[in-house]
Amino acid sequence: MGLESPNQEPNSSFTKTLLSGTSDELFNQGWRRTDFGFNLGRQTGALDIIKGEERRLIYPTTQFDTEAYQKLLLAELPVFETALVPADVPDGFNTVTIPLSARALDSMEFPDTNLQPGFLGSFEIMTGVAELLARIYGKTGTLPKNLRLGQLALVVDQNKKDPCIIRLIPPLHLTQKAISIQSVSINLLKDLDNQDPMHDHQKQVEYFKNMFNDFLKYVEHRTA
Amino acid sequence: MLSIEQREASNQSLRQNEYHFNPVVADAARELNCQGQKPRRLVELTTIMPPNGAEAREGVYILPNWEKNNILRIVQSRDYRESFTRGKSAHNVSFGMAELRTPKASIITIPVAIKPFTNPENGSLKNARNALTDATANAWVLKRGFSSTNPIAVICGEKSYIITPVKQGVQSLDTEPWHQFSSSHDLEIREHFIGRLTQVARILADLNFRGINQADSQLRNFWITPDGVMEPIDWESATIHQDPPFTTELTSIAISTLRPLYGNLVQGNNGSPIIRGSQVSLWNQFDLLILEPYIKRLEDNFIGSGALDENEELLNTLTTIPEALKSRLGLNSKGS
Repeated sequence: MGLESPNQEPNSSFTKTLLSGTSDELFNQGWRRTDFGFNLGRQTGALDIIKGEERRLIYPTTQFDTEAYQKLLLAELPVFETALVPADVPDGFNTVTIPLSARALDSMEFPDTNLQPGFLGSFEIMTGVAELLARIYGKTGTLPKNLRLGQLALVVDQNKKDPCIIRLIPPLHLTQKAISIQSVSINLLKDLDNQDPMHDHQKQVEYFKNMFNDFLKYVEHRTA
Repeated sequence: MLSIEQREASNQSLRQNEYHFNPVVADAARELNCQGQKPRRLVELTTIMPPNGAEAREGVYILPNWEKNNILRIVQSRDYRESFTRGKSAHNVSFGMAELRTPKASIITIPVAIKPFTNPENGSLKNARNALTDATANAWVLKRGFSSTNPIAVICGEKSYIITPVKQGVQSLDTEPWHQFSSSHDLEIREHFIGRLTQVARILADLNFRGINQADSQLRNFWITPDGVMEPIDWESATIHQDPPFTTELTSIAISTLRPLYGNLVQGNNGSPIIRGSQVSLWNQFDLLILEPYIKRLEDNFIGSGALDENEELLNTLTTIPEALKSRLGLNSKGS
């Protein structure tokens, strides 16, 4: 995983081809491709672009994505908000606003062995992931299908409406099939170990599970 | 599995982390309060640094870019969590909020990074001198046209602190998964990391050309903005020279700049080397990835300025930098 992902969408190059006209049009208007390390479209071939303080992601949407987006909005859960770009976007693509700081979790190392007060370390990020998933699960009874690290973005932005530091990267796909947090944890650990083999992530993932359960109790208590 | 006690301790720790003030921020707020009534001094960039470092006295110094502002207090707020920066800090830089009085007399609250200088702990002007030297070097870097941290003020007391606005969205270069640089066969990924190193080399050449020796050129001392712009940070060890530097100084500036980077690439971040192999191979990789773009950029800068015209001494200096560095690194001419 990480910048090198075995889980890459099979149609990512096709997506890039479909978006080539759009990207040419936008680049002529001064938009630029977001830096490779920040790019949220690496996994899907989506177009992550930036111009000054503005950033957009143009990605291939699906029915699952539309449904999941509506579900999250209704439940007042954090999403990247839909937006427009001044260009022709092909049918089947959606555009969202991305905070400048957003960065996929598969583009970073997770070296910490404990909380890093004052810093955004591995454990704080795990807390953010747990918070987001617990809120989604507690409020909608769903979890992201086949969640991988590359589908999660870190957002550190003072202007964001929701305090959670993690967002799902679209296209979204939530499923009501019984997904245990244990299986999510196994995938997370596998991704962390693949992406950052120099560090031990077992404790981080245990922490994630504990925090998920704690947040879930909190959400259930609030909604009871 | 964590025991119930460990889990409770972890949760407690998280709560403390979220709701309690970072001790560095608390100490800085206290020190600012102590120095609050004293008149503000302006950091003046009248002499090249060193020779003697900054003349520091207790009080609050305002940096030139913030001349008509005043720092009123450091505010305890949970919002500091929103200013988190990804990446470890060797200096224990922490994040809080600061209240500023602007030139229009309005008061604004902004997220700030607080870099402490607290060693020795029992207080001495050594801390103040170090903090002021760091901030002054930073101010020189900005004055010479580079984009970097833009500190507002230095609080000089028994403990000293540099207060700098948080730059949103930047990520420290060392937080990327550098192990993939040597392990990945994906062309795009290798190009990504090679591009990063080329950017580092060019920035160092630009700095050196303008008489700035960063002197601690590790990957963690660069950050990246979302549109891919790399900026150098952390001027604690920096020295500021003539702009451009004297030819006689150039080699020593180059060596002082490049040597830490070689060590950083060989040792890596968090124990994971970025370049691997025998000593010969390490040197060859460093030569290709860093030295070539560095020297090329330095040459281009000097050509652009006209300084290379009929200046054989400068030309010779540029061509001897690689060998001089190799020698300084303790690698003999055969690289064995």
